[in-house]
Amino acid sequence: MTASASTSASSGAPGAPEYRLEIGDAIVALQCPQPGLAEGLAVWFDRASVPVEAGAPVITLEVTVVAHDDQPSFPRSLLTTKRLLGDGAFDIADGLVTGSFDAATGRGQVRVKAALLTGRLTRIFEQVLYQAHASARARLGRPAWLVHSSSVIVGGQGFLFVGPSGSGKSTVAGLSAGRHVLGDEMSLVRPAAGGAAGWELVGTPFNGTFRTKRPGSAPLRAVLLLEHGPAHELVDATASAAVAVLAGEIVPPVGLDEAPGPDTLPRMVDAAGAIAANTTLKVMRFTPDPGFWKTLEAAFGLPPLA
Amino acid sequence: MRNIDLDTILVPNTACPVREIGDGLIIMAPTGTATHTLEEIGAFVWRHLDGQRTLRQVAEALVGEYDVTFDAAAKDICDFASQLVDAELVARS
Repeated sequence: MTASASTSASSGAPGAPEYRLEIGDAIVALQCPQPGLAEGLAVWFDRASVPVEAGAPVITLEVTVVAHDDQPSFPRSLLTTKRLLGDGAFDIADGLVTGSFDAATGRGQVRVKAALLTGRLTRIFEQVLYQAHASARARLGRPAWLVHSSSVIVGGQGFLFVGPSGSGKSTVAGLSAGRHVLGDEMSLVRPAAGGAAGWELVGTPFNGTFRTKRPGSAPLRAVLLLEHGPAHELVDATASAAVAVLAGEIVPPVGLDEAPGPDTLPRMVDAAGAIAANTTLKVMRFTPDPGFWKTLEAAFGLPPLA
Repeated sequence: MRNIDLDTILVPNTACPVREIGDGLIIMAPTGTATHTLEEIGAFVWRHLDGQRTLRQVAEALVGEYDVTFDAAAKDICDFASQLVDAELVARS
């Protein structure tokens, strides 16, 4: 894939290089005045900037990389170390990321210490983009949930594989050769279009280790809670246990100008409950071979791989 | 602190959001960082921790609803109640 960035005059800094990220129907524009940053983001995401013709960004952030002499620490969560400073300003991990966001205009600035955009540490920086997505969702007024997961489309139906780290999400993606893999890191789940019951599963730009994913979307057919086991099998899960697992994999819906609050976890549980109410949830025990697809084909009436 | 026993009366921590999911419950920790899942029987016990009933009365209610002896129910309920107290999901009334 050719990595590229675009230059747009639609944002606050006409002519500045810009990298546009599409997360579902939310376009986040990252203005990158410093040379090479927009191109570097395109390489990181392994996809070109969303063309300007695709639509106006919901939010626009100017991203500045800050040189530093210190050796910052890198928290696993950029939310637990986030401090709100008033007027939309925030500080994460004692200056690792600072910035501000104006929810009314959808514009903001993010200053990032250079080390956070080095190699796999960029994965931590992506949490800033999750917060940007939450801010974009609030502006759109259309709910949708980022879920740590792998997702695959088969026979026009979407399958969401969730579980804690090490449960096999990337393994499932890697064992789904020949099928439409949306990703092995982060999927978007949003209400079905047109007010229909159910949910839609959408790929996102965020990458895990599986690198031959393809964009796309499909009606969500099932949520599969991954467990390693001695054989391939689908097991009924109690509703409360399944919802708790799924809630734990939903990205906290906290915007750039927000910090986690008392309603954050209840919102995640409520979202998981709403998803569970309109789809099938099963525990999928599997061994690391593609035979689990035979089990899924039989259970859900899917066409076998051609 | 006095141990949990059958004369203990517990009341849910009102700072913990609770959601009914199927036959069970999801209770969120007051810190907002963890969920606790109660299946059918745990949820039954939780719903009886109303700040009025003793654990003995809860055990009697459990015996009336499920195929379990009073002794077994009493032991399980005291163990379960201790876990709820440790997790700060309930407090002594």
